[in-house]
Amino acid sequence: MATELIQVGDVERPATPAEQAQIDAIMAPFNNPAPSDK
Amino acid sequence: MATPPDFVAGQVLTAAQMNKAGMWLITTQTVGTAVTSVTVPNVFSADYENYLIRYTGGTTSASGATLALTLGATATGYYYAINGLTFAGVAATGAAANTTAWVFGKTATAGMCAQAFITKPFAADETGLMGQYVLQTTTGEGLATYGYLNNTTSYTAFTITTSPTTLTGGTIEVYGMRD
Repeated sequence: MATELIQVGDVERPATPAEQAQIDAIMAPFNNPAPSDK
Repeated sequence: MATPPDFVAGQVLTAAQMNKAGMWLITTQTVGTAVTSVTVPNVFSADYENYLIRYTGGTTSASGATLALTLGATATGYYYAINGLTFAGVAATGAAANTTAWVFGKTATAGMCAQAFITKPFAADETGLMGQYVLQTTTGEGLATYGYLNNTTSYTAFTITTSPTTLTGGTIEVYGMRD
């Protein structure tokens, strides 16, 4: 997955590899399909 | 005195009167452009045990994607149950045990309308979640989420994440509730 833009406080920047991995891990259970998307 | 919150300009209030203010706006965070996550730092503290997080307005690259809510850097131990209905009366439910985040709402191109009451995020105790969300379209839905985070970690920050969908604009407000 491509590096995504994150915002910490008022600062926007590309996610670091560690942050990107955490974003991917957090969202993995909710994509295709999200458990609430019934 | 005037009935709060209709104060008179220059009015002097006693501590007893001020202490009746039940909610205090801790911070307002404006969401940036095409971001996939927003971290709001330094909001939970010993000043309050319980908090209200509201995310309203803005837009998104696609409706219907999960808005995930996490505390600090924790990505495990989240439990939640969702109960809701579409405006056509169709059940909209979901649940997860020991997962990577809470589901806090969904993205909506018409603007986000989600809030969550968070109990004891700073205290060394389990953290509770009671959230609500409305998809404001004629074919939308309303959901309520109930959950908790199964650890006793103390947190000062939270993050709202959606991916690969992005968020643009809107406001995140965090209120502390008087104990």
